[in-house]
Amino acid sequence: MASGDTRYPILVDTDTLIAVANSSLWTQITDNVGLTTTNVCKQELERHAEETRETAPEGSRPYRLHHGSRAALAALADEDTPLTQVTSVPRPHGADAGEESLRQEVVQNPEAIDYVILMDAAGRRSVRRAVDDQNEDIRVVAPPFLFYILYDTDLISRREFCEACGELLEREGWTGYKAVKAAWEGIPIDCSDILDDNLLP
Amino acid sequence: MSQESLDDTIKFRAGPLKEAATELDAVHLGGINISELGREGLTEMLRRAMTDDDKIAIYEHYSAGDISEEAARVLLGEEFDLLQEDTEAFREATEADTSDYLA
Repeated sequence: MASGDTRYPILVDTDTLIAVANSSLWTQITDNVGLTTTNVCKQELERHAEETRETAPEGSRPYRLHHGSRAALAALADEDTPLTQVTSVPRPHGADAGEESLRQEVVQNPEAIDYVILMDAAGRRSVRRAVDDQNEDIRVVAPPFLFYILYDTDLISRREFCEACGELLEREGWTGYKAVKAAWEGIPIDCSDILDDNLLP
Repeated sequence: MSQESLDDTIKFRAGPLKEAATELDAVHLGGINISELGREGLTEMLRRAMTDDDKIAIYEHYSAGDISEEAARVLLGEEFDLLQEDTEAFREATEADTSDYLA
């Protein structure tokens, strides 16, 4: 975790961290992109790591939850990695606590945030509403945006961008499809020569 | 999709369904709108019958222009709007200078 009171203007939720930690671009992201999450999301990562077994079948959802959470927690614990956490007060509870902690951050510290990244489409809408209510200029987007930052700054190739999107499509089903499709429609990047037909629209 | 096909009547063996609907129409104060119930009921059951893979296929068919926006909306409901919102948000997000976010 970055030291002191560092805050980065990109706020990410638990499922975003897990999804990108399971991607082939995780090292590139943790080496290059400044990210902030909340203590509530960190607790969700800890819970996932405890409640799922390391030996879950490779590729299964429990496997991804376990290994993705552990990778994200390791990055949070590493002082050299630009991934930091802020404390959410009051601390939300329940199934959507992580998402709610991001919404709370948007309301309490809008000036510190440029982007909010969530894996869940309904969650993005909920945070978007909170942003609109405050007339803030904060963008709420899906996880492929992190791949896009790497691509747009020439840290990765188009092939790497497309392959990371393909991984997300395969792993996350309809949830990942919505995220990747929105990215592809928003900034038309042609992946047709790179991805298998079964992954491509 | 042409107006003609939108106006097509969906036919199925009504049998006891028709008897049940007629009976409810008779006993319910003010009667019931069977056509409206039929449309809403079919919409709900179509959505309930869909798997996530079906949703992906439906949106792809819509993107390719193979089905109308109206039909895609019937099947995907709010999910359709969420996708449009996300696309717009992503487009706007990429207009900024992404190098600002490198640590």
